[in-house]
Amino acid sequence: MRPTFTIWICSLVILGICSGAVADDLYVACHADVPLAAADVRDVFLGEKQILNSTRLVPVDNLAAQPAFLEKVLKMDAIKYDTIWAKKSFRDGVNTPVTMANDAAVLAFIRRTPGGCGYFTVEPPVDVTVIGKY
Amino acid sequence: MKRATDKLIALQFLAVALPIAVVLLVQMAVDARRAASLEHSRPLRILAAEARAYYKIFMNGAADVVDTGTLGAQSVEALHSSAGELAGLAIIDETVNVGDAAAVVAGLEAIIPKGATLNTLVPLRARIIQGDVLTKAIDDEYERRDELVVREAVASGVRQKYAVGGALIITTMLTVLFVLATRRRLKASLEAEISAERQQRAELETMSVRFGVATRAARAGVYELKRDGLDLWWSDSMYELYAQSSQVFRPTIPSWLGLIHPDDRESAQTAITSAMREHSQLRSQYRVVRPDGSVCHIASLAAVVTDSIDASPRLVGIDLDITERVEADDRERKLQQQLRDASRHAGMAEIATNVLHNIGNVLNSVNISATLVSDRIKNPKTAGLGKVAALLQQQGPDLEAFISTDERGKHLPVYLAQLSEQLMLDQRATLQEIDLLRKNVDHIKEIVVMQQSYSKLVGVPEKLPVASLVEDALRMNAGAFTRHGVSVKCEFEDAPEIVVEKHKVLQILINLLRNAKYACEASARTDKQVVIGIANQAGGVRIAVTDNGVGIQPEHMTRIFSHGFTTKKDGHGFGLHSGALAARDMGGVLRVDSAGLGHGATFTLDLPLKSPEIICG
Repeated sequence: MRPTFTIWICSLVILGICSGAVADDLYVACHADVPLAAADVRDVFLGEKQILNSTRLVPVDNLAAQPAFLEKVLKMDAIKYDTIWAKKSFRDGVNTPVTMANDAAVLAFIRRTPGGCGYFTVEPPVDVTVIGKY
Repeated sequence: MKRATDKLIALQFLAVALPIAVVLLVQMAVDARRAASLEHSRPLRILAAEARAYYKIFMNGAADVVDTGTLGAQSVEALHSSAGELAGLAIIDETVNVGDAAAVVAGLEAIIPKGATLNTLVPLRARIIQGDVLTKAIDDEYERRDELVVREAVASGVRQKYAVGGALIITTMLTVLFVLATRRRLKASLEAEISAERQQRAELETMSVRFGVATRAARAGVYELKRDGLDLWWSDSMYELYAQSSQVFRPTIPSWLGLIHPDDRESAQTAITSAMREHSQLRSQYRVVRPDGSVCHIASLAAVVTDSIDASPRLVGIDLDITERVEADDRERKLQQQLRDASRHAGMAEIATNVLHNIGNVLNSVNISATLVSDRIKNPKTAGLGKVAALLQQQGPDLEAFISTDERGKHLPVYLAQLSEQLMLDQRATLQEIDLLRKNVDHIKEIVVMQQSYSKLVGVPEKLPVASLVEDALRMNAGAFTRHGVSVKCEFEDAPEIVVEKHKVLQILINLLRNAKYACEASARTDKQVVIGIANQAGGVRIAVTDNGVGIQPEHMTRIFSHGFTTKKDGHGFGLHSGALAARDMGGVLRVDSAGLGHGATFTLDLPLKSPEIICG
């Protein structure tokens, strides 16, 4: 494992410990090659915008940050969110976003998936594109 | 030309028709293929689209469950329909993997009942989405295929359009090429034809000029008469021949007859009518009275012609101005008459010359014989007989004593006996001369008869021994040989009798002997001799007269038998000429041979046993 990655993991652990102080920050980030605008985040996570510059957008949910994300970004509760996605999936055949356990899983997915988008409880590293901070 | 143009037109037609035909055939094939592809593709596409549509209806129904709470019967029915369409599609077309979709949809159909709630559906969301993906994939696949077919059809149509355009361009180009080629060929052909026509026209003009020049030079005119007898065509030279103006005179049979001499009109018209009726050749001659009053003689030659130009028979002929010929014929006729008269006179003169020559020869002998007889009569041996008679009268009665006693009387009987013998000798000699004279006179008569026979071309052949003929000739010249001291030697073989005209042979032999005597006489030698021989030869006899006289110069050998040629001062040049002719008349030949001057000469007369006219007779 590279030293920088170890340092970053350690930083995340430290941030997690200190999250009580800064628990309100939420970061939406995408794969480094996805120049997504902050205004498109809602559409992406509700399945309305699925393609950007010929790249299929793949939103993923972060179980650790989903409530905050639904509240701050999508302005809805989890039931509504599931209902929308149920309709969306039945009507348009679009799969609902995969739910990841935490920031690290989301970060790993985004890094390896072109078009991948997720949200973090801490500021993600620079090798992904941060779309917005909420 | 027509065949080349037809060929070109056929090629041009092929050039136009072939590309179009090929394009049409290809187009028909492509259309058929396209229609077949569309026929195959479109139902599958419809099935797939329907399957997809039904599935989407189901999905929308499923989505509506979020609001309605339960799945409607229509959605279930749509799922059922989608499953059925997919199952059918899987059976019809095996090229696309419809089986998975059909299985997924069929599986959903089996487990999703009518009135299913969201709780039933959500767990099946992945399979429902999988079905959506699969049906969409199938729909896309068939859509893609259909689009391919349509695109191919469109592309094919475009290709067809280009092909048709290309064919039209090719056809147009070929047409243009062929038109150009045809034009060029036609142009070349036309130029060749025009050239040939010009050449023919030039040749025709040349021929026409030649014809005109020739007819004018020949003073001839050409005419053509149609069957109706009214349409008469004249060449330019014809007008000149008849001294008529082509601008004024219109040639017809009546107008033509008006130009002919009244005495010749009927025969001229009859000749034309007969030729036209019997299709025979026309040959007539008549006179034409020209406007200036001069008379022209015309010879007309014509034939009836029926050719491809005009099916009706036409009389085509030529009129020749034969005035000069007629006048020349008249002059020639007169000249012939004059020539005949002159010839008759010349013949008479020749006959007279011949007669005079031959008679002259004989007259020499006649003259000699007459002179001898005259001499004997003038100087008779009986002059002493008168003296004897006077002496006997003087004796009177004493005559007996005188004869017996007188010496003169004693010689008187002897004298009288000798005188009697002399008188008998004289009488015999005189009789011989008179006989020779008679023969010569007979020969003269025969010469005259022979000359008459020349004019009648009739001879009188006799069968005679050759020796007697030669002896007669010798006898007639015997005196001359004796007087000129020329000895005659005869070398006769036994020869058969020959049938000849006696006096022709005698005339020849007398001439030969007389010439031999003259040759010897002119020679200075003393042993003058003439040898006459008779020898047998195949089919006849040969009589040769050889002298040792002056001989003949070589340059005279070829002329010696020519009429008028002579080497004698007083000769006529007729004897050997007439002798050679007479020998030839008898079927024989008279030849001469001489070694030259001073060496004498030999004349040889070869005669057949029978002369040709006798053999024929």
